[in-house]
Amino acid sequence: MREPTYFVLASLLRGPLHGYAIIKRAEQLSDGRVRLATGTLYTVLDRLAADGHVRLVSEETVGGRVRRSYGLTGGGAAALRAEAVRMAEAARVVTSSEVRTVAGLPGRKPRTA
Amino acid sequence: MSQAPGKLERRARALLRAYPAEYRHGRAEEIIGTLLEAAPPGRSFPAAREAWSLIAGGRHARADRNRRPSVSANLRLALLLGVSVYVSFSTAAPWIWAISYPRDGWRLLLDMNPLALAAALAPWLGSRAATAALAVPAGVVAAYGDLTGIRNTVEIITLAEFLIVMAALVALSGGPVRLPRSWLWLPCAFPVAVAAGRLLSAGRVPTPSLVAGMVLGTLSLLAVVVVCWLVTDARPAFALCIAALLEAVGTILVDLGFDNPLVPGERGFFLSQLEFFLWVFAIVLPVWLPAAWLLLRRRKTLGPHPFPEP
Repeated sequence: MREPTYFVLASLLRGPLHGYAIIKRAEQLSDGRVRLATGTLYTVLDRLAADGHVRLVSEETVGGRVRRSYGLTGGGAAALRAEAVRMAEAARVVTSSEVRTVAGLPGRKPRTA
Repeated sequence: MSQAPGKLERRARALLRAYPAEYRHGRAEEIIGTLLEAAPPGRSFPAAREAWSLIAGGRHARADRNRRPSVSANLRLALLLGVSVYVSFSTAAPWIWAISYPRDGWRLLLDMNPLALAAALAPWLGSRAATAALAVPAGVVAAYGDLTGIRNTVEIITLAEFLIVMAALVALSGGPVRLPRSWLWLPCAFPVAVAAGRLLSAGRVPTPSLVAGMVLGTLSLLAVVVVCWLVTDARPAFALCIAALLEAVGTILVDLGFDNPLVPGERGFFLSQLEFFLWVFAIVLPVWLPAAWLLLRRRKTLGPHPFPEP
């Protein structure tokens, strides 16, 4: 699962959101690292909807424009949890082991002014 | 009362044209609304990353739409387009001859067979009966033209090949998935090139090389376009390769009827034909293989369109 997809799903954990709210929430959850562009957001939403991971929940008209809200399905929540567990296990491989660096190997020389 | 769209909205709408029309119909207002909300105040141009994401999103939406029919339906459409382009090309070739030597009269008119060109375009009407209504008379005209003045094996082979191609055109027409209208210009390109060659000659009888040059130029243009088209649709590239192979097979079959220049009086397959066929394959294969792979590949999860149009 790609990072934008992961954070789109994660942004819907607390309930349905509309497009702009998903962008803001994904940015907030990722500490500003994932800044979804509009085209990317809708491509991700289309894929997730085709896979049955998100669903159109409601539709309203705001300022003459349609605004749709999307919610997480059971399948989407399961896929997100599975991805989170996989990443946590992958992280544990690194965080739980003692770090032994090799001294004396040639490395990049630090730049001097 | 709705407000007049601002500069940012107008420019975003222009970028949204990257998406297919049916997608825009259902989603454009929602995407524009999100983009305007996300843009900082006073902005008149979409940010470069926003613009790029809309173009890339449009490409994705088009590719998804084109893969949505079943593999067999897409294969039928690609074969149908290939046969249509081949018929259009093979009827445009006698036009070159006809407009260069107009004195040859009615026999050339029979060879040009405008009915065949009409039959090549008929599949866009979406009905097998309509294609048959044009293909059958086209076959009859060709048979009459050839059988009344038949002289050698070449003409018998040409006629048989033409009738088989007309039958294929009818057999592949119809069906639940219609040919996209955006493909219609492909079979029209050759006759238009021939007509343009005639116009460029400004009243004089055009040389065959001028008109043949126009057709070859058109062929090169088509090849470039369909290769670029691979990013969203593999079917036109697949179709053009089919047309090129049909043309190569047709040329070789016709050549079989001619005397071998190296051994007078002998007919049959000789090395230069094999070389020609290999050359055609060497040019066509690098496009055909990726096109075939893209055509046969289908996302397993691709279901019905997730957001039906309102």
